[in-house]
Amino acid sequence: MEQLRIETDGDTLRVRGPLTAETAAALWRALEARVAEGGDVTVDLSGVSRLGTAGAAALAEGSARARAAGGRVVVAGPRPEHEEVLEQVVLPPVRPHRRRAPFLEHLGAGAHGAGAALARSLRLAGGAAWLAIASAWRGPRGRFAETVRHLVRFGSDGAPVVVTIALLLGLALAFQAAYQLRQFGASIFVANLVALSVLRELGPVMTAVVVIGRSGSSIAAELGTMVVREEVDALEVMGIDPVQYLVVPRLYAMTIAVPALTVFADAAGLLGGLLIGVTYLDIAPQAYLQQTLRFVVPGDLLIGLFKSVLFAWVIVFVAVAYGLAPKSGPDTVGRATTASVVTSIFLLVLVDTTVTTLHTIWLT
Amino acid sequence: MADVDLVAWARGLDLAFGERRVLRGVDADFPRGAITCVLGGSGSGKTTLLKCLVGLLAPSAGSTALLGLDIVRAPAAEREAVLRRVGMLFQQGALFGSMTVGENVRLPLEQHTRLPPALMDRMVDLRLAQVGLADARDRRPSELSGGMQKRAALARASILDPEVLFCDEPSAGLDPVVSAGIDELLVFFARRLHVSVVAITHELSSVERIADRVVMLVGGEVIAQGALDEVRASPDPRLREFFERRPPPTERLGRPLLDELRPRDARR
Ligand SMILES: Nc1ncnc2c1ncn2[C@@H]1O[C@H](COP(=O)(O)OP(=O)(O)OP(=O)(O)O)[C@@H](O)[C@H]1O
Ligand SMILES: [Mg+2]
Repeated sequence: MEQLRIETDGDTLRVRGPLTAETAAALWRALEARVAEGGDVTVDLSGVSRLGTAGAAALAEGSARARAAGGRVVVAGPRPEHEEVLEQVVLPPVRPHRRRAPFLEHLGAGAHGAGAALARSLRLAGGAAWLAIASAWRGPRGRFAETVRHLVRFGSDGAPVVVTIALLLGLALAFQAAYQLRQFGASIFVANLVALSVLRELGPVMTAVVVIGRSGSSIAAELGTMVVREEVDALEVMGIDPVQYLVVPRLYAMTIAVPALTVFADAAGLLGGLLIGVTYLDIAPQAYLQQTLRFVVPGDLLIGLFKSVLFAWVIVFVAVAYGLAPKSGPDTVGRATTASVVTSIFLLVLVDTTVTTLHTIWLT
Repeated sequence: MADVDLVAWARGLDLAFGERRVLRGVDADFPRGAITCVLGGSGSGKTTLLKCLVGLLAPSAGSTALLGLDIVRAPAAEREAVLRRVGMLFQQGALFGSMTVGENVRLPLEQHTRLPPALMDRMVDLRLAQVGLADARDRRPSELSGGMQKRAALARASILDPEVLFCDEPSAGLDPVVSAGIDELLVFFARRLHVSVVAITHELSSVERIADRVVMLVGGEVIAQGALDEVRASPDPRLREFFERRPPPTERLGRPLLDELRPRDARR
C-alpha cells in the first residue's frame, strides 16, 4: 500500500500519497496540533494521489477548529479531481453528535423510569382488561378456529413441561416434609402437607409461572412485532377492532388452558408425594391415598382453580398491554417482552398472596 | 357545502413528533371520483398526512374529515363504520405475517361481508390475478419479494371496492412494466368501480399517467394543489426542481468545502 507522507515547511503541510480512510488520521493529527494555536495553515495537496471522504473530513474539521481559534486552513495546489471532491463535499450547519448515554447514566435513568413504567403498565392493563371484557361479551365472532389454535399452543403444548415440573416439585416437597415429620413418628402427615400445598399454592402458581414464560412472553412478542410492522394499524384502518380480533381469542384460550394445566399439575404433584411416601417412608399406597382423601376437601381444589383463572387473566392482560403499547422498533419489542414477564410474575405473586390471605381470614 | 364532493379533507393540520414539526398548517382536498396524487420529497410528511386522514395519528391542531366524519374525535363504532368503506395500502405493506397472501386478501371479506365462502375464494383469486399474483396465493408474505408484497397489500386494500383507497407509494420498488400495470389498475378502480383514489408517489411518469389532481408537500407544507397541468406550470422553484428532477442548489444543503479552503486571493 502506498504510504502517506507529511512534510512540514513553516506554516505549510506538504502531503504526499493517498488521503483516504486508511491514512487521513495522520493528516488530522498534524492539523489538530497546529490549528489549536491559531494562525493560518496551508495544506499543499499537489502530491496527493487520491483524495477520499475521510481526507476531506480531516480538512473540514481542521478548518472548523482553525476558525474557532481565529485562524484558517487553506489548500494549495489541488488537482482538478481534488477540487471536484471538495466542491461536492458540503458543510452543513454544525450540530453536535449525540453519543449514547454511558452505562451509569443509563442505570440512573432506568431507575428513575421504573416507577413511571410500572404506573403506565398498570394503566395499560386496566384499559386492555376493560376492552377485553367488553368485547368478550360479544364473543369471538367467527374466531373459533383461532381460539382452538391458541388453546393448543398455550395448553396441550405446555402440558409435558408443566407435568414434569409439578412431579419433581411434589417429590422435593415430600422429601423435605418426610425428613422432618419422621422424627416425630408422624410420617403419614406427609400426605396432608403435600396435598394442601400442591392444591392450594404450588400447582396453580407453578403452572402460571411456566405459562408466563412460555405463552405470556410469546403473546407480548407476537403482538409487539405486529405493532412494529404496522399490522395493528392495518387492522384498525380495515375497521376491525384489534382488541376484539387479537385479544379475545387469546383471552378465551388462556382462561381454559391455565386451569386445565393446573389440574394436571395438581395430579402430578400429588403423585410425586405418593412416590416418596411409598418408597422412602414405606407407607402403603392405599393408606397414603386414604389419608389424602380424608383430609382434602373440594374447597382446596376449587380455591386453586379459582386462583388459576385469575392468573390466566393477569397473564393475558399484562402481555397484551405490553404487546400493543406503541413501539419504535425491534429493540422495543424485546424490552416490552421482558417487562411483560417481570410485571406478570410480580402481579401473579400479589394476586396469590391477596387471595390466600382473604381465604384464610374467611376460613377462620 | 363543498364537502359533499370531497371524500376527505384537511384544514390547518399541525403535527409534531417531539420537537420535530412534520405537518405545518396543511390544507388539502380530495375530491370524490378523482385520483389525487400526493407528491413530495422523502420525509416531506406524505405518509404522516395519510395516517392523519385515516385517524391513525392525531394532529395537534387542525381538523380532518373522512367521508364526512371527524375520524379523530368520532366514537369507535362510527369510526369503524366509516373505515369499512375505506381501503389503505401501507408503505411497507403491513401484510399479516401469520397468514398466507390469500388469507390476507380474504380477511376484509370475512370480517365485513356475509358472502358465501366460494364467492369469497373467487373474489380473492380474481383480485390476485389483477395484481399479477395468481400464483402467490398460498404463500406467506415473508416468501414474497418487496414488490410482490406491495401488490398483495394493494389486493387486500381494494378487495371490497372501497369508496376511498389510500395508497402509500403503490408502485415503489416495482419494475416499469408492473408499475404501469398498477397504474392502469388504479385508473380502472377510479373510472369503473367508483373508487376515489389518494396515491402518494415519487414517480413522475406514474403521476402523468393517473393524476387528475395533485397535492404537493414540501417540508410538511402544501405548496400547491390543483390540476396537474396548473401545478406543473407554476414558477415556484421548489416545483420546478421536482418536475425537472433537479437536485436543489447546494446553498440549501451547505457551503462547498472548496470555498472554505480556498486562499483569499484565489477566490473566484
Ligand atoms: N413515528 C415517528 N416518530 C418520529 N418521527 C417520525 C415518525 N414518523 C415519521 N417521522 C418523521 O416525520 C417526517 C415525515 O415522515 P413521513 O413518513 O410522513 O415522510 P414521507 O413524506 O412519507 O417520506 P417517504 O417518501 O420517504 O416515505 C420525517 O422527518 C420522519 O423522520
Ligand atoms: Mg412515506
